[in-house]
Amino acid sequence: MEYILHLAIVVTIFSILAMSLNYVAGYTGILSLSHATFYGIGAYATAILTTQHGFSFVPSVMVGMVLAAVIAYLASFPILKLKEDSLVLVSFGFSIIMFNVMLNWTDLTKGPLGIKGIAAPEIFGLSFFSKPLFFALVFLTAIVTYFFFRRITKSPYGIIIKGIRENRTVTAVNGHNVLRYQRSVFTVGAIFAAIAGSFTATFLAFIEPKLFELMPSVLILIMVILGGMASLKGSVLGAFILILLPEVLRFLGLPPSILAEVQQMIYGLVLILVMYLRPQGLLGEYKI
Amino acid sequence: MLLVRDLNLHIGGLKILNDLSFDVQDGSITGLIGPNGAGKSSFYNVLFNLFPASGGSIKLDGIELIGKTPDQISHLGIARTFQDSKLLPQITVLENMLLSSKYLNPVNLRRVFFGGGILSEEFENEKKKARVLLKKVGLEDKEHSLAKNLSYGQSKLIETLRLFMYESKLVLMDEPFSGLFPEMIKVIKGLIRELVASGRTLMFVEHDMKLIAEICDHVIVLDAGSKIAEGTFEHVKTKPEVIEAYLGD
Repeated sequence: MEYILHLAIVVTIFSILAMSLNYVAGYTGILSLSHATFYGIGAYATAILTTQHGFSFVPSVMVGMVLAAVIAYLASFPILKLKEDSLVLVSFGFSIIMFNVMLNWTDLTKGPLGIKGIAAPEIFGLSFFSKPLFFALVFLTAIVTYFFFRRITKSPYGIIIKGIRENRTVTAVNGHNVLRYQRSVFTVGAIFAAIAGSFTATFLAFIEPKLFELMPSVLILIMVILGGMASLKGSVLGAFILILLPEVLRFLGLPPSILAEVQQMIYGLVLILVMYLRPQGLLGEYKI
Repeated sequence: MLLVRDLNLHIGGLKILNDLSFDVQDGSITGLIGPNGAGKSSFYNVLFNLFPASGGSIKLDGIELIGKTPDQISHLGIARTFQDSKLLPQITVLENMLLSSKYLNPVNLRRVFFGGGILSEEFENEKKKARVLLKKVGLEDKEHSLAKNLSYGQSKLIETLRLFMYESKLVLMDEPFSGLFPEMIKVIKGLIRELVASGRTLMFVEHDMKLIAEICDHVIVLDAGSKIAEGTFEHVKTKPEVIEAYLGD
């Protein structure tokens, strides 16, 4: 039961990440490789503030959200100045810089040693130390995330951001301030990634920079592509499949030393198969 | 009234538009004609600041358009179509129509979450308006189809139809009839007449001289980025420079 709850929590946290990246990449067409950076900002905000400055969970999450929003908004200027391939590369460059900040600003982040001893969330005196309670909290957040993005994407706002994804010039000529919408989407997506980061920090009780480097960004993007671009349910399905699929390996008796490598090969293979067999993903309509 | 004065577009030493000056009267249908490469579509692109002008002025009702962003220009009451259909392929026909609806501006997250239902009411009204328009041309069953699944003619039709979604003053059309069969041309001609009857001013680029003669009350002839003639079609078609540049082909 502990094991199943552990997996359920991981799936739910990644669902929040995948839904927020889908809002950015699937709905708006900003193919960002920096989502894990904002995930890391939330995680570090909660880890640092709760272990070193006596903050409780909720204020630390709020600080993480604000920090992610400010950094995303500022980063959106160079990132969104470009389009398509160039945009992907610049977002990649941004994630490299931020990874190195996490790795080398040792006074703040303790660098590669990471931060340990992060306490479970406590809200209004109720501790979420037990896994069922923690799962309930994360699950509730994922539900709120789903309905938040659903409301936006089903509204006229959703039509405009999909228009931007399809053709920025035509959308602008139709009277919409493309950059303003893109900046808003990029920033809101980062805020939700930061929330997922705060949960991860308290769930693992330990964080280190490599949790937030390029590979997690790629993994979240594969979840979005597998589930379907511009499909929130697809993102949840993508997270579910890609978290559980490698778990099957544990039961195949593979030596632990090669488990991580095989896991990454599976992610790569899934991406290739999806692009060839169903480029719109399992539940999506939009093809990259 | 649209006033174009000494408009220039130079790209890498190439003069795409050269000291272009003309007026477009309110409520008129002005044809912009000329051989390929004359600068007709480039003029539309400069007007919408998709290509920044190298000099000159374009004013709509006294407001300078040069230096404004495409969305600001659209907000002044200008709509356009493109030479190749620019329907957005991976959104539905209805969404393509709604994207042109200016009530959407500005739709921000505050309105999405705290609009108190005003947004959804407006949204429903605009959907109804789009559905009436689709029904008018017999495409009501296509509202949920992705635009990429439409035929070429249907795409052209929707592109013209969505001009009705916005109460614009000036409409710029770029070859709305090209590649269409006669039945479809008839439908689009009817829509153009309706656009004018609703008080809009129209400019359109077209190669078919019969259509120009039939529809336009004023014609501007361009060649190599310069204006070489202006007036009624009957007037310009007799000019030797026009015959040489274009009509004599």
